[in-house]
Amino acid sequence: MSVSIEVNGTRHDIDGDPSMPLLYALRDQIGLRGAKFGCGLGQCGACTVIVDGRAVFSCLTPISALEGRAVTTTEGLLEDGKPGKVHQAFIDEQAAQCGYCIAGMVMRVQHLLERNADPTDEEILTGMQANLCRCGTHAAIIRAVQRAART
Amino acid sequence: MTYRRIGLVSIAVLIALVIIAFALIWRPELTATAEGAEPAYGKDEIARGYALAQLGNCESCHTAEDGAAYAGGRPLDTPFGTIFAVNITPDRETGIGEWSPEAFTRAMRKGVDREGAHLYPAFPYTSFTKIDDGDISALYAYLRTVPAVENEAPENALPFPFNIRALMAGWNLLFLDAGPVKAVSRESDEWNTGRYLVEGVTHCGACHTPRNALGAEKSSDSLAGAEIDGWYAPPLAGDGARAWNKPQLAAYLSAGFSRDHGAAAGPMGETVTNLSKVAPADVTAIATYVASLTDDTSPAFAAIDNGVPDDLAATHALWVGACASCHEAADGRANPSYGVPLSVGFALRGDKPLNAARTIVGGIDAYRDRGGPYMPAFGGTLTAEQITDLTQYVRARFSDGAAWEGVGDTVEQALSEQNEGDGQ
Repeated sequence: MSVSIEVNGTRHDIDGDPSMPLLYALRDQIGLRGAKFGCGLGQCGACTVIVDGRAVFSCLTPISALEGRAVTTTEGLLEDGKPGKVHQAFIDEQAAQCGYCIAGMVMRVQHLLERNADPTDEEILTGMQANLCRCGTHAAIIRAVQRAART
Repeated sequence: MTYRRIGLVSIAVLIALVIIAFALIWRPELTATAEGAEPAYGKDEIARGYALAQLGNCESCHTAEDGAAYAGGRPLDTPFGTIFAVNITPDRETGIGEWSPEAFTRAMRKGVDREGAHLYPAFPYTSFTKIDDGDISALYAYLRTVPAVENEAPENALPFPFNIRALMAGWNLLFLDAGPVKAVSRESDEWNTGRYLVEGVTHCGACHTPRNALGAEKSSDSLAGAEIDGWYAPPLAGDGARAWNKPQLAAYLSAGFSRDHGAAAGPMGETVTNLSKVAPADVTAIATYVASLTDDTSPAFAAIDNGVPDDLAATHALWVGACASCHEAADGRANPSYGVPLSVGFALRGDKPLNAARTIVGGIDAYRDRGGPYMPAFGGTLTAEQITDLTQYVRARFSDGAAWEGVGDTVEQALSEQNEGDGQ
């Protein structure tokens, strides 16, 4: 089966089993390695990307669900090949330790700020709840969200 | 009889009717407590009151989203209009700080506020009237200890004639069955405690018992299952009730999960969160009573899998890619999300797609802070049409029920509510 999916503004024809997760298509066929495989159960958020304006777990999103829909990954947030606003906030706050969760975190922040440009601390905590960091850098991540909102 | 005499009799009858109506409707204002005259309450009494407040879901209804605890403002949509829960913190201006124990007891038992106005039965005084004196005192004592918060709840949005509180006097004549629950001597103490809790403070029937045209619980269909807030509260007794045994139900009520019944989702997730904070003995008593309403010795429910439905072959890819990793574990082992085979729970067996569609759209997120069943929300990942197909797919494959009607509308409704709540 072939599915036509728009990823970061470019159309890709994905060949594969229709139940294949978007995450595998991104990483193995399109070559975008930002989104990571974490739990495969929608519990950790490492695979988070944005589909039609909403943050989703790409490990639980089969490609057959995506015909004609628009996907944005962390690579899509680059500005002229340089880190985008949310990326830069994470760099400035040194919010990554091992970094495995960060691509997913960034997409969750992007989703949050698109819906609420000036979130309160409480709204940041609620909005980021779906994404976990096993290194425990949540405090720095929250500062990065606040910084990105100010920028 | 002269016209004069007929006139006099008519006037006398009219006056009598006015007096009767007045006696039915009018309730005196009770004296406000003196400021600063708060007696000391015992530690044990406050602790019991706290447990009763959890059992009664008091905080859940009386707290607005992101609002201060017990300070009111949460809307409750009813078929008659929207009612806002009031502030029950000890604030003297906007809360119940001026309420004496007598005023509190009258509200709990008769549905009348301190000033003498009739309350609406969205506040479940028809159940609370069964609570005994000691427990009402304990609840009062606990509510005096929560921080006083100044917050005026919004006015109810009830159209005429439902905005006339005095009408509730007539409603109470018909439907308020005041008085304690009589113990059944041939049953155990635990069973009787459970029944006392279920019919009183936990007001299970408020969600699980169908209501009549006037909004009163139908006593003939007690706990027979009903729609509430866009969900369906499954039957706990009577036709269609699934057999529960006591350990299954005790686990489900305190942790939100039973391997044989699945996870508590929707409004029940909030109830379980509250029940997780009370002593196991209370939860076990509830489980004892409710399990006794069905045949708790019936054999385990057989799993159903009718195979991939022919007309939904394309939807099978969605099932495999989005659902099967949790709900169809190859070796049958439990996974970290507590996914169970879908034929286990009630959601696919009911007459309407409410619980199935809403769970797919919104997931299960009530237990995230303490472990327990978890399901990601698929509203957003999947389109309305895909969720509709998936809902029909699981119904056809994992239940023996006929295809549901109105799935698309239910999905659209759930998605629009999710979008409203997504403005973080």
